[in-house]
Amino acid sequence: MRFNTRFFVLVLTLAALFVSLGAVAAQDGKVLYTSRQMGPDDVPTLDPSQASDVPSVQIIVEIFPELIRLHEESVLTEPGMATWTVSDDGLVYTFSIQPEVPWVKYNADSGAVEQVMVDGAPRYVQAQDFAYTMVRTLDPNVASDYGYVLAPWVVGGSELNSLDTESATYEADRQAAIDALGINVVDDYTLEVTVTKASAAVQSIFAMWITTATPGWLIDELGDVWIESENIVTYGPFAVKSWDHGAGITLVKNPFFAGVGAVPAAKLDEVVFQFLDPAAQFPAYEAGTLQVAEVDGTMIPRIKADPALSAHYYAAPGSCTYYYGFNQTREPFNDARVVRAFSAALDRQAIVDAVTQAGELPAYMFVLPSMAAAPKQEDYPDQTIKFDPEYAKAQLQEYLDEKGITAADITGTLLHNNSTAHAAIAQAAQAMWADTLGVNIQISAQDFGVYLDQRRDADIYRAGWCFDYPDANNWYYDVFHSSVDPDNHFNNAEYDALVEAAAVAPTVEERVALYAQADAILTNTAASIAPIYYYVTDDITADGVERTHSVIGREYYEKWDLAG
Amino acid sequence: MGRFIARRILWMLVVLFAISVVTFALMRLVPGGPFNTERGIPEAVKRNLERRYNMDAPIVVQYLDYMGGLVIPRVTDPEWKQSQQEHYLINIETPFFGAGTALRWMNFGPSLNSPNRTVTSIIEDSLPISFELGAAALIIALMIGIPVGTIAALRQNTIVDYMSMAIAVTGVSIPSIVSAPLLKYIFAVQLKVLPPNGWGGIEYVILPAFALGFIQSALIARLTRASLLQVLREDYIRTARAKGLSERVVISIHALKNSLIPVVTVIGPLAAALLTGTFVVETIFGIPGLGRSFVASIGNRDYPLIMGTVLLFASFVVIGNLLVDIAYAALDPRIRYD
Repeated sequence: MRFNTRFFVLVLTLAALFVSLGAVAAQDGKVLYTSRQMGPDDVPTLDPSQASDVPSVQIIVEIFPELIRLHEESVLTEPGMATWTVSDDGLVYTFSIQPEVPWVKYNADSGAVEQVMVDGAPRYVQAQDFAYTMVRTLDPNVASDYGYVLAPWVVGGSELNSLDTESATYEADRQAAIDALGINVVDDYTLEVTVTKASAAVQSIFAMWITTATPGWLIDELGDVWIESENIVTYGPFAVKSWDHGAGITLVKNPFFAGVGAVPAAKLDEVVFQFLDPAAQFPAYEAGTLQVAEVDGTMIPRIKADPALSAHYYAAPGSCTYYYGFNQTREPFNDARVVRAFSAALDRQAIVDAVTQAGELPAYMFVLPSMAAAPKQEDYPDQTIKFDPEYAKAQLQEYLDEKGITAADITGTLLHNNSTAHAAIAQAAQAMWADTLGVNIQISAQDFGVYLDQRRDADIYRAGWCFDYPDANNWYYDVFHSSVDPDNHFNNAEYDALVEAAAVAPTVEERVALYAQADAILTNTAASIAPIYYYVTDDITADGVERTHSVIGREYYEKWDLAG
Repeated sequence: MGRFIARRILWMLVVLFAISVVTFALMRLVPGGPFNTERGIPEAVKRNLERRYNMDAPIVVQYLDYMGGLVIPRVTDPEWKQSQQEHYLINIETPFFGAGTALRWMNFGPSLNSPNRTVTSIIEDSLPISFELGAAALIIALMIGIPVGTIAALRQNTIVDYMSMAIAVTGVSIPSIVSAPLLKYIFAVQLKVLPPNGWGGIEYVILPAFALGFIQSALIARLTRASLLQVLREDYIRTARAKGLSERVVISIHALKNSLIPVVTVIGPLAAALLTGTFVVETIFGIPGLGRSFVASIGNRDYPLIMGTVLLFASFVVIGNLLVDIAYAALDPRIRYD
């Protein structure tokens, strides 16, 4: 049996190899391992002018803090890199930037974060660096995915952002548009921005990552590769130690950042972000290699059944609303009674309790309650559509009688992008509509790209809206105002007038009241959508991690600590 | 032999050309696009975005531009700077064309999903990782598969044979989407002897390489067994034994070598598949290989990344098959290419 003996030896050798590799090297300092909000794929960019996704923004706010910082739990605006004053007419914002915050860079050879020197003196973050980012974000040459979010707010922004890059006079037009921008560097530490609307929402615009400072001299020299870990210079509480594309990013404490405004100096020495599929994060948490892990929906029953695990589990309010949109150009959904019937037939509580199970909050209004100037649904119990089968039947019957048809004649397809979670919700909705209304709705699940393409033509489509900046304006104006996206099929002059007035109304109370009226049109009187639930962000945290629970998508790891 | 190889390489180019045309056409026919978002981008901005990536040109021009950048080498002067539009995989710095010039080849274009990155840099980063993992998996597959298949054949219809083949059938039947989390649960979560995910030292290679290699080893074991059983009944084996050669020499020199031809046939495409990345195992173990980029690129409609990964994968398959044909000649003296 000599072959068998050899095989046995092979197995033994491999087993010995496994055991010998068991010892994991101990780490110096406070190192936190997290995959929260990271996902399996590489972070698309660290360039503030180019970022449009949650993982990129998460890293960016740690290395390039904004002029105005959003509080991660209250969602209020606080001073970030600057304090600010607003002119009496509400149109000119003057930012006083914290002086002498140095640009830094991690030096892989010395293993330390070092200041960026110019002519023997440290280079500091200045007003020019903030202006540079804003101009670059709007520059058609850069073709930023997010320029158009900033463009309508800054005087001259839309003119610059929408220039035709192939027009004969493009170069001259571009220079003229840049010169005409309402962005003015008064001195090294004073920046003045003229905005188009005297709106309370402006503050949250300046709390976006597209208004941070970036190293213009480096971007001009290196071009696209300036964000690679060997090139990038930053100024926030953390600096970039390494970026292994597709695997993870390691941030290291910036010792030269003493804390500015609401951004404290970091307590952790390093934060290691690992890019991992949510389903792979939980095993890593159990193996002890990850201290903060997202929770895959399929894990929730197991966590809830296990007292040890559920003690470490936390579901914080999220930054998105889940809703179904109804095609306003097509029978029968162009009739508000039908949409009201479909909306009232949805038992949101049952959906969050039995289908999604992560503790989501049933939604009857479109805007998230945590947003600035957001009406809260509990304050408007009489105007929202709630789960009410009798009302749903009555609304549909009225429509059916008028048209002389039966419920069996109502057909349509519900489109969602492919995922088990969306499929489960769609099936629940389909069953609720069938049971309550007797209508037969088909379901179509498509890959995300196809879904985006077909959404405008679907009878009913699943959608989620996550805020860019935490103001009700980003919900009611930016998504459903007829000027923004004519393909949305929601064209309502009364609604448009309300959200325009709400943007510039002088007090919060007035703004809230106007948005509440707008919501009533959107979800009830002219019903175009059926809000379903407000997302939660749920994760699981190991012992010893002292943390915040952000409701704005990104966390500020400089506020975190490790015990012991 | 030389003429054969030259002819095969010519055919390879034809095949790759056909693949590039079909892939380009298919990916552009699928609904959706790289710049679609849940909120409609203003027309002017979308037009500028498409122009930046040359997507406003007629489709044939786009194809020709892409393929031109990929296959036509160019000489750059010292002023040349790498950008998202121009990043070459192969760079030879040579003073041949003047001081500071370089010969550059294979520009895979920009990644549409990462506004600052190029497909070339993604390939440079992730291909070596996929290669390491694939090579480890292939070695495991061969090191288990060939001995087990050989033992099973030599002990045909004994308990050893049945056991080996039972394990092999089990292995073939368990896909890596099942075995990978299982291995991870046992060795990373319960025993805590190996890391659950990531990439770096040898300890990161073991679990994913087993998850990938084991299923293939089962296939190779079954092929080796079947083929060896056939060869053992050949006349030349009887002759070898009649000559008085020891059983060890008969098996290892005469029988095993000849029985490996079917095995070699599958190793070509198998190696190509393993080396170019494997989506499931890479995702489960959080390995930054090319397989994940390949699948993500399709969802993102990242056209240059789709083209780059498909063409790379296709070239590995055709090269793998060419090497297999050459290996036939070495294994079986009767096979000649003229």
